[in-house]
Amino acid sequence: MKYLNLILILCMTSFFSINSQAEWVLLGHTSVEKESLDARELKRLFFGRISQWDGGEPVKLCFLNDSNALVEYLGDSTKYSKKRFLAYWNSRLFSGDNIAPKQFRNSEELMDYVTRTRGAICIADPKAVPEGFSGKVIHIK
Amino acid sequence: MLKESTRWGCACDEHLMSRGATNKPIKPNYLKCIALGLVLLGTMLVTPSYAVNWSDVTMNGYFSFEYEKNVAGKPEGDTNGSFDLDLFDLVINFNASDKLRIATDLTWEHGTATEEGFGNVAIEYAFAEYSFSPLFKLRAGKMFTNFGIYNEIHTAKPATLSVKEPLSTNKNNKMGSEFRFYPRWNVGVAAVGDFVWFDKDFDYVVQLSNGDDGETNPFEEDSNTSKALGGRVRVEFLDNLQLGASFYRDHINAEYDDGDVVARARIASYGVQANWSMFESIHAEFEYVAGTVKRDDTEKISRNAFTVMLSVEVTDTITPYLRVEVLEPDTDTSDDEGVLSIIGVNWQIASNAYLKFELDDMNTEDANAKFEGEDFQEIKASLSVGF
Repeated sequence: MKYLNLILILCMTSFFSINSQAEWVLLGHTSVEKESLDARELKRLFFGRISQWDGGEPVKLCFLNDSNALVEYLGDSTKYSKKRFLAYWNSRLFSGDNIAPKQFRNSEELMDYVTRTRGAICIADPKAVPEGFSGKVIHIK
Repeated sequence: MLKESTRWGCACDEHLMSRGATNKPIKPNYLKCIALGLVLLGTMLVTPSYAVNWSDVTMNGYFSFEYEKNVAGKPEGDTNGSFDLDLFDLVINFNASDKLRIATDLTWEHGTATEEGFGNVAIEYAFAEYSFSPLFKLRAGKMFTNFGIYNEIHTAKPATLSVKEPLSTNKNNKMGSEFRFYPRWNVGVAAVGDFVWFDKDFDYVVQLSNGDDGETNPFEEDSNTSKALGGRVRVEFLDNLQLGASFYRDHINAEYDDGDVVARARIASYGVQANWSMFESIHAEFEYVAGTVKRDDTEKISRNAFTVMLSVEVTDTITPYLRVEVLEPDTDTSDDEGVLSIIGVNWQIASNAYLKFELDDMNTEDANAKFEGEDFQEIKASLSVGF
């Protein structure tokens, strides 16, 4: 029993340490009413299945292209590699089905976009979020 | 600028007034009038137009360059080995409002030069979409026929692993069928949407359109009163398994072989599809299409086809694939089957740029209407870039 408790404590510790060292963060414009999202909702958002917020405003997705944030998110919550995710969005965009997420080459452009664009929600590198970020950090349940 | 224009305007008015008042021929100051016109024109041109707010417009597109050569077997396919500026497409979305979107794909294919009659310029699609809710959006315009896995992305080469879309289920007329299972495009209206049912994510589309025919421009005028009906539903059955089913039904006007007498042909096609990620890096794709064609002057033809593709992401950028395509153009004809086997590799060389290399092996039976048992192998390569 003693060993079982020890194992449980170790498991819990490692679980929390993984979360505390998350390699991605979800940012939103202040117009986004959600304070938190669960993994399912987030997947539905980032795969274009939810295209409007509750108030009717269009969802505007974005991510940083040359960062591991998107790869980490996909690895954590989906069965998609980045290559397949891009192919998925190529299909939806080029078929006329949807507007693809905006891709940024640097964090400054992404931060500028998410703070200025109503309905924007972006996957970003947590280290790139500046002090006094004027957008919203959305928590994952 | 305003003062200047006003002063020039007064000068012109005075000139005309004085001519009318005195009824004497006065040499008009044409230079001033022309200059006034130019200034007004210039003002119009430099004044910002508010018809388009560029923050509401997104422009994307794709580019594809290909090479094909017959390397073995009978002299079918491309025996000379040819480079092909396959296409350059612009995909533009205008968000007229939060709920109204205009989407279009403009394509220039095969090095378009209209003076020479080379290539093709086309609107792949142009439609307006009004979003009542994610569950119900209404589209009107020219659209791809939503059927199966590939039709809507058959030109979008950065979206596909292979150099070309499967022939057997998409371009079956290039593999031995008289008619395709469904037309590439249609003009009409469509309802589309996403919804959750039994905790599964679904999407659907239902299209009502002119359909296709050989007599008129079907994107302008229907040659018969019958409308084509098509649709598809897909479900994320599991995190790693997507399933789907499609249908298409239409009456088209077709010509008899001996002249201009028009017969009606009824086309009905049904399909199922599956995308399965067996492991994180191993993916399988399956599509099966079956259907019938009944012309007034012939017996009903039943046909079917399937494709199976297996791919493995061996690294983040390199994905080899293997695909087998089988077409049975007429189930009542015993030796008209076609089989295309493809082995290839897709190499992602930049963020949305792909090099593809493959070997295609076409095998058909003697009664196949397209190749008549003339088996051959082709190499194909392409560069496709999305932006």
